[in-house]
Amino acid sequence: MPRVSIISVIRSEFLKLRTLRSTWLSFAITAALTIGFGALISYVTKMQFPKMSFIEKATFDPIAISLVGTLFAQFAVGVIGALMITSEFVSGSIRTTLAAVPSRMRILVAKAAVLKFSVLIVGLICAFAAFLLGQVIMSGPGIPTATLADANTLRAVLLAGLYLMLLSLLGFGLGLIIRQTAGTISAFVSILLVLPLITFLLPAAWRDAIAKFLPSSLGRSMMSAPGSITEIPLFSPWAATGILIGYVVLIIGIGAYLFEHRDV
Amino acid sequence: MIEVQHLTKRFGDNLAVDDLSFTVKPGIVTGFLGPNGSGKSTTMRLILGLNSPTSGTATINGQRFAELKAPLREVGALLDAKALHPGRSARNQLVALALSNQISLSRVDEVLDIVGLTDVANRRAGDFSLGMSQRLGIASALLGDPGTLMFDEPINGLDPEGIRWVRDFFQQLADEGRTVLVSSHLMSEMALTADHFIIIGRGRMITEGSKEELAKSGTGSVHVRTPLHQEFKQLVADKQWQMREEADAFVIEGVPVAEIGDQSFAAGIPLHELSAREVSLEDSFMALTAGAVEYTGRRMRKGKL
Ligand SMILES: Nc1ncnc2c1ncn2[C@@H]1O[C@H](COP(=O)(O)OP(=O)(O)O)[C@@H](O)[C@H]1O
Ligand SMILES: [Mg+2]
Repeated sequence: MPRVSIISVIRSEFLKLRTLRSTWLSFAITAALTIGFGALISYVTKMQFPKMSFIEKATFDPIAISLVGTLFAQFAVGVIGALMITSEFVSGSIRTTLAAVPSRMRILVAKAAVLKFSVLIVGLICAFAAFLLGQVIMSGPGIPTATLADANTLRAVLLAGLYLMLLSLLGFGLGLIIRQTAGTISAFVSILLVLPLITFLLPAAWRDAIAKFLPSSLGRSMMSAPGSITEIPLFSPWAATGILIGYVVLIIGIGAYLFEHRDV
Repeated sequence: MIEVQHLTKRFGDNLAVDDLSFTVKPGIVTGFLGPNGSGKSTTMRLILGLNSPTSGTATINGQRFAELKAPLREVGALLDAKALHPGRSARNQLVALALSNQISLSRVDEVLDIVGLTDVANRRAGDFSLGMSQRLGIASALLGDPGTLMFDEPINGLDPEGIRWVRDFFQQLADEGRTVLVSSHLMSEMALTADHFIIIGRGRMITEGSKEELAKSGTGSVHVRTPLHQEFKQLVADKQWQMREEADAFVIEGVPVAEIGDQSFAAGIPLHELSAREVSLEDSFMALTAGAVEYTGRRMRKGKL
């Protein structure tokens, strides 16, 4: 007799994600911000380049500039991740879902798998498109550009896609804990925008010790060429990736524990 | 078959379900009745493992809900008709459920047809009226063709034609040998829908029984009209009958009609009306749950608000 399996639940969750307008809208915004914003900033930078100081030219990072849109798109993928679970709590449909699939861990694993897969694919496509378009726009006499033949460059572009995936999972984990859309998105935005602002109020030594641990700084580490000079010290790309994965595992772990033990 | 044993659920200080035990048998429609806030929905959520009990157990065909391998094929439930994502089409809501339990997609069209939503299957469920949502909820419950069905207040929001359809439909499901549990806070809704009743108040069992047993448990009343108010009241006081006054009549509980007629005649009191009123199921229900309602409204007197 056919029964509930992880594959059948993944198919169900994938259909749920596909059949919501908010998903398509958020992915469209992700693409527009990553590719469109990246192109715009690349163009503006190219226009500014001749007027840049010697220092600015020396630290010029064409990879980071073309990928800068991901730092805006992160909010769109965070919303996708958050809505994936909060929409069920807010509407009450989580009860229908769990009355069909009693194992909460199975639902959680299926939702996370569908989210990871979808955002990683979209994130990688957007990151590559933004990178390539950015280099084409910036190329000109005397302006350094990057190529994917360089291992550091390829890694930065791949990690940009991974960064978006990890942030959608962060939104998902916060949603599991908070259960409300507005609260989850506020928490997400606070972590990415408000925490960095707070660190800039701290004494410089403290700021340099703390700021590199913030998810937004980890994102910059993942997407720049190693050794590029920044106003705060940053981790190496792989260390930053590891730390960000750690955060995501921690938040989803707490969310999973609460999901398993709380009434719905 | 649903078996609930010593089920208890506490929310903070509030004992929502208090040591409830009952069995819901196959082949009949069982009405689950109680005033608002008496714990019906909580009990159903406990049966489905959505809330965890403070103590006690609930099983379906001898198994806890969480142990079922293909839950939709064993239990279908409509808990809250409006609890669905408003942006998804009716059909896609059902397809998502069907996929999770490996139910064929042709069954989705079948249940849409059964509840009469085929024409609106591709519309956003958020645009549905409460009545249409109830039908969609019933369709989800039927999806796996389960032997056990639970419906929480399914009649809310249905038009008279819908109510009639739902009644016949529940009866048909029971006639096919399924276990059918239907909750309501209105006896008037359930009197024609269910064969067996479980009545709870403030989370506790009040009584359980068939329609006939319930009707018997209430006492009949006799309506009396007479021009001699004072004399009749004196007679009632002498005989120690239970009496209340309604707008234009005296209502006496638990005394045979013949006794009242004979005594009035003996006392020389002319009667303009002497009529026995059958107890309705609704009267019994009201009497049984009178102490258990959370909020009671003031009875309005004529001309006064
Ligand atoms: N999640 C909850 N948290 C706290 N109290 C609850 C919760 N759900 C229900 N209750 C309380 O439990 C009691 C029973 O509610 P409910 O099961 O909804 O009753 P019914 O369905 O019979 O109207 C009510 O007093 C209600 O306020
Ligand atoms: Mg209820």
